[in-house]
Amino acid sequence: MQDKDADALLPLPAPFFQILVALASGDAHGYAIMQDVEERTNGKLRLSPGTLYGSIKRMLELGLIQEAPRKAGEDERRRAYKITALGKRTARAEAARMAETLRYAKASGLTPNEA
Amino acid sequence: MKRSLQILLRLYPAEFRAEYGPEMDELLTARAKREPAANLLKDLVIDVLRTAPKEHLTMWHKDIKHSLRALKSAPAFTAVAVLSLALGLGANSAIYSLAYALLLRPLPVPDPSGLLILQGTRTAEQDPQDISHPDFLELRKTTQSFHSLIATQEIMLGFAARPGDTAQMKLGAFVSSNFFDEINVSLERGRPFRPDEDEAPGRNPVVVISHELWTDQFQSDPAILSRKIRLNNVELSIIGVAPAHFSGLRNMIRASFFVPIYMSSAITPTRAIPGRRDIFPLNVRGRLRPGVSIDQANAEVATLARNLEAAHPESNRGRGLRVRTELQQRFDASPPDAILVGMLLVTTLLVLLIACVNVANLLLARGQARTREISVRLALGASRSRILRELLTESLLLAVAGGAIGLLIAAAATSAFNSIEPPSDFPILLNVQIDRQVFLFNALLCLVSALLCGLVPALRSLQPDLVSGLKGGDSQPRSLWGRGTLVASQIAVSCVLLIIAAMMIAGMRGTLLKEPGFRIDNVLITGLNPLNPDTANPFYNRLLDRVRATPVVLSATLATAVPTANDAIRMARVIPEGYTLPPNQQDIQVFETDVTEDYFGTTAIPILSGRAITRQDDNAAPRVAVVNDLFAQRYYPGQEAVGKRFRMDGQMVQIVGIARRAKYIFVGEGPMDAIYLSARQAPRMGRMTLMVHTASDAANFASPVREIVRQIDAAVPLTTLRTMADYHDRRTVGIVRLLVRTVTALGAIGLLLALIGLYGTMSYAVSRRTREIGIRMAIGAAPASIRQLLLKQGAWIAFPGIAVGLAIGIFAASIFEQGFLGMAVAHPAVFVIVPLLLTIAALAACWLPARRAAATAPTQALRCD
Repeated sequence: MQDKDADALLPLPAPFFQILVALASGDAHGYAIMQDVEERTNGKLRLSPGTLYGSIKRMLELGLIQEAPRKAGEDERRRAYKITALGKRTARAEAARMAETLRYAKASGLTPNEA
Repeated sequence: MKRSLQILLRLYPAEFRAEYGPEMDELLTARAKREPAANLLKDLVIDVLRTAPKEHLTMWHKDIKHSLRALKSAPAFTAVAVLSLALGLGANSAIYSLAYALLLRPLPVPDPSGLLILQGTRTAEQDPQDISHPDFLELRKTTQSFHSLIATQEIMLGFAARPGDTAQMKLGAFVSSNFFDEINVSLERGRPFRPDEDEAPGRNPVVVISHELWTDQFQSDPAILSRKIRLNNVELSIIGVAPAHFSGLRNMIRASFFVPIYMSSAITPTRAIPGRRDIFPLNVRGRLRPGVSIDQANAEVATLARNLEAAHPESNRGRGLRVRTELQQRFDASPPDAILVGMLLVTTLLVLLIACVNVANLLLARGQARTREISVRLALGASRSRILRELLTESLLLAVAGGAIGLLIAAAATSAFNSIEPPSDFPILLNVQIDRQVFLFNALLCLVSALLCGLVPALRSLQPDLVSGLKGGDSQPRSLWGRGTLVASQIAVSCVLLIIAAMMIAGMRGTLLKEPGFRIDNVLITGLNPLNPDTANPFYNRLLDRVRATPVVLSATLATAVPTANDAIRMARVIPEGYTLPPNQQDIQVFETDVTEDYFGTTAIPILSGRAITRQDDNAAPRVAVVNDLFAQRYYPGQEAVGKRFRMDGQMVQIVGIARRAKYIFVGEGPMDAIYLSARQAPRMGRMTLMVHTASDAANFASPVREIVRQIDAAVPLTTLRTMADYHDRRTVGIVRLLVRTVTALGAIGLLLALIGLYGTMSYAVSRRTREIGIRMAIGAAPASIRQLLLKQGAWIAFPGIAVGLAIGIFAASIFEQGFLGMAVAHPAVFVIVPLLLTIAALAACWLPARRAAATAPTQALRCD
């Protein structure tokens, strides 16, 4: 099914996609998102603070994420973020788009290097 | 380490920092624990450089969008504010463009400011003199400060494209051979002069012509370099064509040709330049060697001047040298231009000030209306800096829109300036235009006015009392005071402006235009320039005889210049006999005209006592002069000046008559000493102007005059034949009219702006007092008394403004009366009419809001809270 809201945002900037993926498994604050992305990409992608918070700010405005309710006893300064329904649909659409792209590449013999 | 991180974070917009600063800080601290510092720092620098500008841009984008929305929601406010600024900025850009064209435009050469003037002076008076040719050659050889020196002399010559063509007067210049190389101008075609082409009198008949001469006279002939022209009947080969933008080294004058100095011996044999120490015709310029300062150069040329004085005492006694910049020289050369431009600039800046105050006032009123919105946003946590920036963005947008419309206004004004056609035979090149300089000036003023009108209101809006602000009231009684003061000062400024405008109108409309002091109707004038000095006098005699013999002619005369001629100003140095000169002064400079018999009859300048110049006052008779009444009163006070003598050029000259004062250079000039000498007693008659007084329309006599000249000597070039009425119209009436219009427009704009301000303030005051008015009416106040109440409030703002303006106006009047050289007259009526006009206008501006208030039903007024 076509999802106009989500499709309008594609292709998603790489940091947006990584942040959405990180938040898909649960709410997290900025530092945790950075660590998650770094671990998942084996240290290849490290979101530096300007990029990270610049992206967070824009994603909040776009409604891809929202601030998570604060848990009792947590650090006041630390805000956690939560993926929204739009965020999930967008991440899914982006993943599908990337899969499609990969399929074209394979069909043309451009298989990613397994080694 | 921590510090450098903090500093880097400051590069983000404040709002971003407020939002994410602590978290970013924390994140960095965590990373710092497990990474080498250098690595982290490098990472961060790249990150900041990549992302911070983007954050700023989004912020601005948002501000602008927000401000545009805010402005759109108040179209009346926006329109009035933009219009106010457009008028203010437009007036300034227009006047600046005029100032730029008159005084500031650089010469059309690469690095124009580096081309300095080496000016001769007479040490006693520091009065600028040019330099003799032998001195120039010696200076060029010996100077260490200058890379080299060039010399020029502008001159009008009879030009003909082909042999046998009637000669036309054109302006060109004698130049030294290194002219084009030193000023760094490459020719469009051909080559510059070689050094050997300027070393022997009359040997190398070569000429470089201007681009305009090439296109206009030779239809851009590609084979131009094989063609020849004639200048004063001397044939010269064209060796080059100057580029299109190059008009020579005189601001506002377009030179058509450039000829080596040594050719002056052949082209103007009576005024040959080479080798003569006794004449000082050359304008010398040069570029300093790298590392040499103007002070050092000045010190060097002072020494060189002393050496020249020691070597040639007979010609160089008392002569000095100094280095001037082009700009200094322009201010020296035409102080009236500088004064005029300065006064116009000051006046227009006043208009802009009024406009800014107006917009500031409107913004203040709006700020009050937006108190609630701003309080809500502050309460919701918006940062003050964010709101401040938004408010300033708003005023910047207003200023930019105003500036854009202002440029259109300026463009219209410049076309009016360009329509001035001075009746000169010089190719005047005023060319006022909106170019990059004017554009930049406009942009700069936009920024300044945005700050000027935006800052105070914005800061004021940010200090609302949150509680009362949210309630929608306002609890700042002092704010109306501030606004009242602003409007009052605005009225004061426009009062001053109107007084100045009225003074100029009074001055110009009055005696100046009606009584220039000489005849304007039925006079035909034309300039003549006999090439051969030996036959000039016989030519002029035959011409006068033939013209006078024509039935329609009442009288005819020759003079070196017509009254108010701006391109043939002659000053003589005289020493009146029996008059004690002030210390340190060797002589007196007076305005001088050489005239023949019938001059005073033809020009209708009355002889008050004694006699006029006659045909018998020739070289065989003792030298005589007619002086004007001012000269007589000043130097022979209480005596009969007729019969007295003065010394001039080492000879005694007897005063035989006294003429009534007239205007000599410009109608706006103050009283001037003037003398008339007999043209027939000059060594020879050179370039003269023929003036013919006819019984009927002088214009009809133009072709007969042309025919008479052709019959006597076809080779004599005639300059434009025109009537004195036409000349006067262009030289005087046109310029005066434009000035009056400009100043009146400025005054009217100022008044309009002030009235908008007053109206705004009163409307606002009424809206604030609606509740009070409702109560008053509910307890029985009549509408008339409400109107009166509000008018009184308006009067309390307007009258002090008018009073202060009047006081400043009276003070400014005396300065303007002197500064404008008689063009402004402080007629007492001015000081009555202007305040009266302002009072009526101010009361009208208050009347509308007052009437509206009085018409409000009490129930409605009381409900409005």
